Amino acid sequence: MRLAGNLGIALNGLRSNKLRSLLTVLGIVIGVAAVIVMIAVGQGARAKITSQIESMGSNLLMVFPEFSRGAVRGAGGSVNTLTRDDAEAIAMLPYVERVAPELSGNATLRYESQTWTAQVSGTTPDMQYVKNWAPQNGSFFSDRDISDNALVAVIGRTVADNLFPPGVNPVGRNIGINRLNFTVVGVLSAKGASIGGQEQDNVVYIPISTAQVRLFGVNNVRLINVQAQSSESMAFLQEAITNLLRERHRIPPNGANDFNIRNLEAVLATVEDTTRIMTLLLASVAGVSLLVGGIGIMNIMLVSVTERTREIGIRMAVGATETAILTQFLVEAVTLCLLGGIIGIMLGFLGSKLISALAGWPTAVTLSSVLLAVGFSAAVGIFFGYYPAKKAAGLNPIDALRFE
Amino acid sequence: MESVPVIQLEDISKTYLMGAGHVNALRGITISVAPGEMAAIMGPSGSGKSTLLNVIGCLDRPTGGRYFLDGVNVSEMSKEQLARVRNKKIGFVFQGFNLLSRVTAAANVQLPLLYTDEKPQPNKKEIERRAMEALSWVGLKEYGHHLPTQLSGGQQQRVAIARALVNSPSIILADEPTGALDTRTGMEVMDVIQRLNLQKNITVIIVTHEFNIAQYCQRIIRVRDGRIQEDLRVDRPRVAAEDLKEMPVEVEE
Repeated sequence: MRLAGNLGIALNGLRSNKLRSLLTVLGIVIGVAAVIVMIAVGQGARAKITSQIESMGSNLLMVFPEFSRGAVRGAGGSVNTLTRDDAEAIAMLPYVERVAPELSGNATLRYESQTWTAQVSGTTPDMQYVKNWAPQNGSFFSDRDISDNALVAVIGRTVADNLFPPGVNPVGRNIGINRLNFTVVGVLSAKGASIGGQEQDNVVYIPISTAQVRLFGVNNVRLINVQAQSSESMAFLQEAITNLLRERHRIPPNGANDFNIRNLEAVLATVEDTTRIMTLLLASVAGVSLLVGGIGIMNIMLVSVTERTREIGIRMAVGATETAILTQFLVEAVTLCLLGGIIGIMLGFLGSKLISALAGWPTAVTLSSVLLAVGFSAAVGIFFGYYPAKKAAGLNPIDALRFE
Repeated sequence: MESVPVIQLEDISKTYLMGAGHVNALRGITISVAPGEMAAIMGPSGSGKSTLLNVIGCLDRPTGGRYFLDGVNVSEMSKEQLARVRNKKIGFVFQGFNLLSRVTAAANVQLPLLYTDEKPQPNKKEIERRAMEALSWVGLKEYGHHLPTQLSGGQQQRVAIARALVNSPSIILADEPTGALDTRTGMEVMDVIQRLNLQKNITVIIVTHEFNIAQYCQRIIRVRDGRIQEDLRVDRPRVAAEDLKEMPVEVEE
């Protein structure tokens, strides 16, 4: 007998018992929808966190000063072991692509009568490449501005939006930072929040020399961003920087480092691992509900076989082989499951959209999760449908015909 | 001219294991039925007539003896092969009609065609055409789209007859075909079966315990205790169509 014929018989069977079929597939619908939503939430979270980390720059090592015995403490109470010279020395190391030191602090900005508080960060032009963050409008300041201690500034999106009235192009305008007058030379594109939920766009970049000499009056830096040439060279570079700085800071062999190097790739890997495990966990919890749905299918199929014993007898009497009966019930179970799977996918899709809309949590329904759900529901159908189908096919036609 | 018998049973026995002991339902039955014959199998309950019908209908395998259907030994066939033989050569008519209640009369008649191993497989149109032809033959051309529950008992049994003949079988086996019907309707059904036998030359075996019904057959085989007690030729079987004319037409209340 042809498969098409079997499908027709199975569909007829399901159609003639609509409510029960619907209730039976409900378990699968919920299971599949749950799997899809959970994977979507997990994947979405992962995608968001990954993009946030990547927005900080790729192949990035961040060198922070750290208090240790013998280190000199700065006037502001912060540790100030790192200098621009350290940054320049690091830039000489092999495998270094770019180096951007930073010295930052909060300051009050003023444009005409408007004031706004933002983080003011002294840095070098390489910053825009290290963070992959080009000005949307105007340009970054130049190396020349650094040697000139120039009063120029590149402002973030949030600063531009809050300090300037709408419709005013900030480029070329003068803003006050503390008591100094800076000229805005560029406006950065919006970058969004960081992993910690920190606003990254409320920032003003000025030449590091200007920040040290004219704004903050110090000669250390708060942070040195080091971009490696490739992700493979990061481990090597981390060690090279450690050796270089220990030597420059004259730390004895048994002394502790007065700096700390953070490897963003490592953080990224950890975060990806964590979210992967979280996704797996969520999906397996959802998978359990799919399994429960499968047991529901088996239950109903068993009831259905008993109920339709006479029908099976009739079919056998008119010449249905065991294989034909087995196929009929198996096709019925798989059809139920696939039907549930399809409804579940649609529901899961809607659910994901709803979660992104309501909770602001990003979700991503992937093709692989859809395929997984469909494959799983078909497998559930075959697995849980086989026993009842086998039972039906094994009936003795004489007894089946006599069944009341 | 002696033709090959359509049914040839040679010393058929059937033993059931029942708990500790076993029951001999059939103890050496030998019968031969020629093509186009219409025979009745009679006997009290427990005589083994149902078992005999199941063996003839290839629903059950004998434990001893040989059974040739259309000259083919079917007594040693597998379940799968028996199913194909049932599909191709045998049509069943049951006392309780045994129609699928959730599908239409036409779909019920189409059922055997869904399981045919004919090459090439008949397509949907062909299946519908053949089912309609069988329904017309039993006089239910207009009732194809009705559900069995929307039909009277006599009509349901005629749908079952249409289902039995749709695959052009060699034999039709009827198990108490009029048992669930009133006298007049039973007679109508017997008329259809008789016409089937005469006009289509299909061999018919009827199991019944009513002598009234057996009288319409050319041959009456009596079974008792798993053996053939009597095998009688009826010279002039009654004709249901004629008896119907005699009967007063019932007035519906």
